[in-house]
Amino acid sequence: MKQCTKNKMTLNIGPQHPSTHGVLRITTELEGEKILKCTPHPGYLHRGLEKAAENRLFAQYLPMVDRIDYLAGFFYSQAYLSATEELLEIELPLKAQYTRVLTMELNRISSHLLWLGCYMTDLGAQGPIFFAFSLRNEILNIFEKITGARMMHNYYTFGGVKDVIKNDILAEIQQYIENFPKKFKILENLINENPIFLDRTKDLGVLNTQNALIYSITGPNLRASGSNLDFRKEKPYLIYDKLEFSIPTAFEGDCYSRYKVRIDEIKISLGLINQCIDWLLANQNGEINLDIRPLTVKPKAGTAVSYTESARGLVMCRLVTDGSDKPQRVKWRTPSFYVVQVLEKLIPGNDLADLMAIFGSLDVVIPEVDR
Amino acid sequence: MKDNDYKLITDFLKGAISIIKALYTVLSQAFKPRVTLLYPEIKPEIPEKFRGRLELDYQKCIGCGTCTKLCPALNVLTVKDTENDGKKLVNIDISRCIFCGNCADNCPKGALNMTKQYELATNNKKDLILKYDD
Repeated sequence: MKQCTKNKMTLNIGPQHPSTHGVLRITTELEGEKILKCTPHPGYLHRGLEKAAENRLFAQYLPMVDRIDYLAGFFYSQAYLSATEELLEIELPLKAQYTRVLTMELNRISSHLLWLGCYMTDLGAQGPIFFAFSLRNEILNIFEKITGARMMHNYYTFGGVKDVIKNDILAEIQQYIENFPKKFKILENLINENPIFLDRTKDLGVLNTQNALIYSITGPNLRASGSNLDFRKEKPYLIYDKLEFSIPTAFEGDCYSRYKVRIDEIKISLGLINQCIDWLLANQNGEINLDIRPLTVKPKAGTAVSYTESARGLVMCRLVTDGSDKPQRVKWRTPSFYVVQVLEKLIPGNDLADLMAIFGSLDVVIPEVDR
Repeated sequence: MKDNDYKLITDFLKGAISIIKALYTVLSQAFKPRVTLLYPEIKPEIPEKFRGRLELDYQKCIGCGTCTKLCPALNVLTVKDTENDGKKLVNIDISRCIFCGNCADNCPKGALNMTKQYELATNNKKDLILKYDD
């Protein structure tokens, strides 16, 4: 027994581990149950999506963008399109902007709900995932009616969106939002005061503001560490400056505050969706796109950078063009990539059993890391 | 020491109450109707815009090649010269399709359509390739 604790042991976790949501390999150095060192090895899901852009037309690359983060595809379409639209020098019709915000906020809720269900399973609670997924399923059904696909939407297009959201679907979304708090209460009853959940998340994996900023972490993870940086307020895109919303923050920086911030974000997204629906119902007529033929998209030569606050943090798309019909370079800044780097700092010193409790709370999606 | 004991007892009581509350919530769900579908027996309702298997109307196709230019997966749609009357027509390989709908959206003659078929598993790969001869 003594020898066991004296010798350090290297343990590989993953790539195929149910809690990593994709394929991430983490090598840990253990002394007994304590983790001394932790090294993440991303790259198992690399599909070369940045390089793929270079031999495809602008419209040809558009469906692939959804696949960078399959849980929140709308944000990536928005990031890529707003960079392209900046170089095309066009302004979106108001109705298209409201439709985009409506779908993006619904996507944020569905992404957070999936995180909530999976995180509870990571912690060993088998119940909440069913309630979270049945709530998420309703959103996916709505998406299927609007866009034709449940996850890979390909709904946005150059200069707007492809189709109008019909009034009966808007009514369905309204109905969903009305019923949401009642159904979400079940989840909160199961989780909020559960002593096991509190013990496993409070004061665990504390990430202070300074470290979060050094590692350039954004999104709910940063807002749980005391900063209120949100690019919907910081650099408003689309019509976010016309909408009223607050930014939920927490100051502890532990797993519990990350949970709290995401729950509050879901509730704020509901308010944003309500405002969008009210506007869309009041303005029935209006263009939804500028009728740009996808084959003819040819932005002027130059560089454009777009900022989008996705469900996981700041998404940046840097687009370099040389005046031809194909992009010269597309660079993605994805939030999860930076979160994986911070594991080296957060994990050491904790027990092996807490590894997935911390990793799960950060809401990493691996295809986004490797892209 | 006494404070510590007091805290232990209150923590225990709080935990017990929350677990009873959770159990009640779960039990009350037991009498609600089923959410999941019994899939192979009961088919889900497919919405109007669903993007399933590609279908091509060879009467309408003029072989312009718009679909091949817009396909992100490459090699799904290929324009081939037919032997008789020199018309250009499109062959479709569904096994590579990612169902994005770019081709069907931009077909100038409306020849390409996305159907509501979604059960595409097959033992024979030739079932997934659509040619003019067939």
